[in-house]
Amino acid sequence: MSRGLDDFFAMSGYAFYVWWSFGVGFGIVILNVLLARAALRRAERDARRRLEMNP
Amino acid sequence: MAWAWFHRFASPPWIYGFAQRWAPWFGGSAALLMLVALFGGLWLAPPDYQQKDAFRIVYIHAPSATFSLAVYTAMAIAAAVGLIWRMKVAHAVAAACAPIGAWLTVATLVTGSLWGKPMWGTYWAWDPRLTSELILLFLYFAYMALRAAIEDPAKADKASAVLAVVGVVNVPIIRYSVTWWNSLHQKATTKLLGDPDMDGSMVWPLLLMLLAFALYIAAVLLVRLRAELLRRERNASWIREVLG
Amino acid sequence: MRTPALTAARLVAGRDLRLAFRKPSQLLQPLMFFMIVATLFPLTLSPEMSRLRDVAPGVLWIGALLSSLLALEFLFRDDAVDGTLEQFALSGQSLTWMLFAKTCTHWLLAGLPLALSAPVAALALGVPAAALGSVVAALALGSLALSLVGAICAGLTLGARRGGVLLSLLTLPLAVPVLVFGADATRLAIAGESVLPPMYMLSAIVVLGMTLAPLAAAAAVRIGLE
Repeated sequence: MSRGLDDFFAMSGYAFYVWWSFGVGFGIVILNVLLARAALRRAERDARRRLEMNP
Repeated sequence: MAWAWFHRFASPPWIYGFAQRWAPWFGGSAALLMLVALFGGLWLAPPDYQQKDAFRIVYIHAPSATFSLAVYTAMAIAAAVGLIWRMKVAHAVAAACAPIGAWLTVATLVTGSLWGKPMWGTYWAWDPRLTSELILLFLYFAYMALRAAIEDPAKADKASAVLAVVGVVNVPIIRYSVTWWNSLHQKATTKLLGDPDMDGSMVWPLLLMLLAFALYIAAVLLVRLRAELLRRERNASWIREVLG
Repeated sequence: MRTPALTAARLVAGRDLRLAFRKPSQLLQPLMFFMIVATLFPLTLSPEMSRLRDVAPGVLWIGALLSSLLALEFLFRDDAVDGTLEQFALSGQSLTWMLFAKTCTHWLLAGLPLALSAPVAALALGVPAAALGSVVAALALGSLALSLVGAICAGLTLGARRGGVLLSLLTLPLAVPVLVFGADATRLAIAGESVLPPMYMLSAIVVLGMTLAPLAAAAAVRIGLE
């Protein structure tokens, strides 16, 4: 049941709500990944610094 | 024999190694499944009779909502395990869960609000399910604020664990609010057993997206858990080996 | 011979009451705060009685919540500072029972007076006289629930810095059900309808709180005292 590309983007008039929902939802998904990785990098950096100070 | 298995879970270096090895696999498969589920949900599935294409928001809203609850429950269980069996790793798991769950709750509230406007005519209503989901967000904030405010790490672990367990009473309230009260929010359309109320072509992308979210959350959780363990284990020798 | 738990609880309650009456200003402050909040709203909003009546449930209950948060400060603070709380925890008596006694006494000193003086604020907000009984009953139950839940949060914030703001942040999510049902009961009372459904829910919350909250509060206090 494929529709035209125009119908796909228009989402039968609900385009604003549908695309913003997916944008925010998946934006948060990606943000979570980035924040987690940043937290890990920070923790690794702090741990290395601590090891250097207490050999 | 069984205790050896349990004790391995309690060992920070073992968990760290497990997290390091498995997070990429969980993350990669999650991304793949999400793409397939999105294709099925956004392109393949036909429009709904009443909601037309707006129903597609379910593919981001329902997994976010389900897991905002699931992550809180996991956090509460980890907190309880940490309190009862005094396992540091359990407390680390609970701490790692909090920011993930909070963001999922934000996603739930925003996507739900965007779905509510075309369907109910309003971006927000003070109905039981929406209100209790908002309470869930406040609980996540309270948990993280309490952790940050207590300086002694062990005390922070234990105090926030009590808060997490006390707050878990909110989870069944959210879950059952639509059956207990006359809620604006619709009831569940898929049940664990039995036929769903949605058409089959609409259901499989939803189930696949739920699985994808589970894997994605596991991946992010493992990454944050690694960071937590590094922070907590301060001068342990295994850290030296792991960082190289 | 070990003192039975109930006797210990009774002694703790008696002590708290006697100490509280030595510092009556501490008791009056939350009450004054509630009155001020309730009168500030008509000042800042329209003085028309019909409009005020619509916001009266919200004003009364937010005022009660804020006043309760203020009053929670004195639940554990003095005892934590002078070491009495530690003695309670070490005494070998049931900390749960003693905290239950402290919380109920706290309600008698803070929540109940607030409920009993609410008619003054309610009348100022245009609440009809026929509804006043229900307003007092709902606030009495609600403030008890807030004291019980607040005891847990007060215990958790014992070791934290800037405990006051944190206490509010922790109590707020747990207090929302009380606010929802309490305000609903007040709204129904003003409209002249039956207040039984929300009152049942408030009672259920109080019963649940009485059985479980002191346990959690005891756990929280032990952690906070470590």
